[in-house]
Amino acid sequence: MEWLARLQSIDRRWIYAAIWVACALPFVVNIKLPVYVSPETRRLYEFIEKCPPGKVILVDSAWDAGSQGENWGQVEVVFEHLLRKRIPFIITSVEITPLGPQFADQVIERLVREKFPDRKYGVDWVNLGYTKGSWQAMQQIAKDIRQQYKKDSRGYSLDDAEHLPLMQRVRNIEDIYLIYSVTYSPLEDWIPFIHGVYGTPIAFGCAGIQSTTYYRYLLSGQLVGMLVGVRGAAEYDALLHPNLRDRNSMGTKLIVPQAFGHLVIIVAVILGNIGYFAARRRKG
Amino acid sequence: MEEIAPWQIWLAAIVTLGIYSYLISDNKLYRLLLNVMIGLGVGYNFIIMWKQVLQPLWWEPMTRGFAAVFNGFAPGSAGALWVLVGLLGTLWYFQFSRKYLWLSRIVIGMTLGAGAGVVFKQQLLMNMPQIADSFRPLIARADGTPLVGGSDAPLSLWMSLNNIIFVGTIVCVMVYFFFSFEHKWAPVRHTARLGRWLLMVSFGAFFGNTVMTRMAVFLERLQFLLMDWLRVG
Amino acid sequence: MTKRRFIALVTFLAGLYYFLEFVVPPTIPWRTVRGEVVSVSPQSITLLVNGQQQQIPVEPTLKVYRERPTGAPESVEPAQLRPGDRVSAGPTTYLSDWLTPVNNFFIVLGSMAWGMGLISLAMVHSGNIRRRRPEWYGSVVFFLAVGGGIVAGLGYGAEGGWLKEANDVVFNYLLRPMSSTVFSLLAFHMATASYRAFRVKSGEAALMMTSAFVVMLGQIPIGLWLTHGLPSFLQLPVMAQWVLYIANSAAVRGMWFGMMVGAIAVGLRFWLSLERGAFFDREL
Repeated sequence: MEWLARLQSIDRRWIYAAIWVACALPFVVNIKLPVYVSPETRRLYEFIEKCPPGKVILVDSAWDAGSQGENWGQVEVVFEHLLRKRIPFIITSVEITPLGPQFADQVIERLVREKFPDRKYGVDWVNLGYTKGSWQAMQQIAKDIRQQYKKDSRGYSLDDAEHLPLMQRVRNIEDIYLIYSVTYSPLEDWIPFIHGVYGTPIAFGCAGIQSTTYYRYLLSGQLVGMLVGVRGAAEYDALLHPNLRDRNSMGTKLIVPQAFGHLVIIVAVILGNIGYFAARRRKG
Repeated sequence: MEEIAPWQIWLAAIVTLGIYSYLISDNKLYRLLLNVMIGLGVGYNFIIMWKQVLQPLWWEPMTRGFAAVFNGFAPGSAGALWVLVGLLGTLWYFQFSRKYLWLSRIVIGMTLGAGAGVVFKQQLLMNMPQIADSFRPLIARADGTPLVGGSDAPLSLWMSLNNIIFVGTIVCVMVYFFFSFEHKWAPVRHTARLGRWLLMVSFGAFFGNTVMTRMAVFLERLQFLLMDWLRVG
Repeated sequence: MTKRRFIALVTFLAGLYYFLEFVVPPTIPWRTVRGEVVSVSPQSITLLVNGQQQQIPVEPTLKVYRERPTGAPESVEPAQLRPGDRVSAGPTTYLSDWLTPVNNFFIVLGSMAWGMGLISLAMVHSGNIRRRRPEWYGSVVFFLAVGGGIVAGLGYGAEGGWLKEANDVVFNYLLRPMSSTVFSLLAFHMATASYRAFRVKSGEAALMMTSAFVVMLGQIPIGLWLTHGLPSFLQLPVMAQWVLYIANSAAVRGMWFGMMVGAIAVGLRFWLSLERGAFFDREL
């Protein structure tokens, strides 16, 4: 019993080492496993599939390094879907982080270079950069997008038809089919100020921890879909690429190591409890 | 995007490992890198904020306005009024003055007031569909419609059970929060107790998802170290 | 006291606009006409109202709202109307017309605080250097880094040149890896915290742990792999979905309904300057 009781006082560095080793293993051996596609992911995929011609999708890519493990994969798969179907999209980052648009650029540059070399900036997508104002900015975008943005992130005027032909047919919320907000914790204000007032569908890509409070919006129809953490990205990749071998997005790369990480935590908690009960029994 | 130079990958790997050195013990290198990170972040955000928000939305309309004013009050002169917003904006910085601290309260008050004024719209539009969706039929058909006045779908035991649990949980949790003081009346006490149990299921989900999120950030770093830097896998 | 009253007054007025904009209709209700557009001329709009044609003169104060398929009205100019559109038209109450300038005012005013973080950090670090506190050289590095960040930020959006290169190095190989590494340290803290503190000391704790394990295992491919042979309702991903959609969403809704009441109450207290506490009670 003595050794069992000691299980509750393992040095923290052993747990750190276990996490490093367990999570590194799937990268070294390169394991890919099938994923279960949850309804919230499928709903987003199917909704984007039905985008009518002439409409654009607004991607509020307001994430940065703090949540790139989850958010990178979530924008990557949706951008791939949009580029593949040639659905034009506009990127911005509302309120949360000025770094958001540059992260989105990184994701798109890689996709365009590796998979869609014929897609053009200004025609297939536009990056409007960072803006401030939370719900006030959302109201401005809905009423007249030019009130909130004068130039894109590269400095071209929104009325510059030569560089930004896409923006010439985007005026206000009427032209937007879906708003997809991706960040650690998307601004819930999209729901009352855009969906509540204009009925425009909203979807979130969020950190797993935040998703727990957003499921209620899926049930009430206020969110049309949601990508949850790494698994949301991996599930969306599975819908984009039914063949396991074709999947190579960030979500797919991280989901198996994620599984190993979860197992370490579960084992650590169980060991801690075994040690705790052994020590309690010993004390009587 | 150009090919990534090896020194760039090494730079990123060194700063990553430098910060991970904290896992062994707190050290000077970690604290130094933290200062670099905060400094770069603040400087970067400062300039982006100017370039993408204040310059297009404030500085340019204002300078155009002044140009119009000097042009004999040509159309667009009203833009010069943005200078007043600029002056008002400087009041934020009286936070750093003990004597004139109250001036900063004017802009803080205005911002808080605007947020408070919109809270009715925000909360009602956000929560009314939630409230409507919470009234679920306890005896439900397979498509979620009620027994009386619903569709032709067959009755569903599973759907009904889910709805009973769903509505029951909302009621119990609300009772738990609204009657957070010790209550003598047994039905309230028991409902609140059940509410606490049901909350635990939700807190478990919160915990599970927290693990998921925290792990993901680390995995992205590990992916960089193993695949981009060491080129294994 | 005068200062306090003045601040309470501006707080109230700032909130009053947004409150009225929500509760007051955009057009005067008793002079608003609803119907279907028959024809439009620069001088008047002809509407079909309850089977009878009615002419509405186009005046500067006239506001026309077109009904959208989602039910939310869209403000349009008379010239944009087409026969068959369902509209409501009436004299404006001005409040909604002012939404854009008022929003712009608040967005710019809020953004003006952008130097606050930099100034307060600069004060702390310059104090460290002046007084030669331990590790004061870290503060020197801080200032150098701020300069580096500003230069790199200037390079965002540039098409080429050394500024773009500086941006690339700082953003991709310093800022991004460092921030995400710092955030990833939380994974290790969380692992040890759950190992030490997550103990099954009561029935509630056992329930929480069961739910946590189901959610953790159900969202990774290993959960699917372990239970894929079982009946659907016993598969871990399906159980995790049930926890998230039903049990969790209902509990979160219960909590958030309470928070809604709280948010409205706090909103009212702020708006009417009734809030008391350290910040609000300080002598001015």
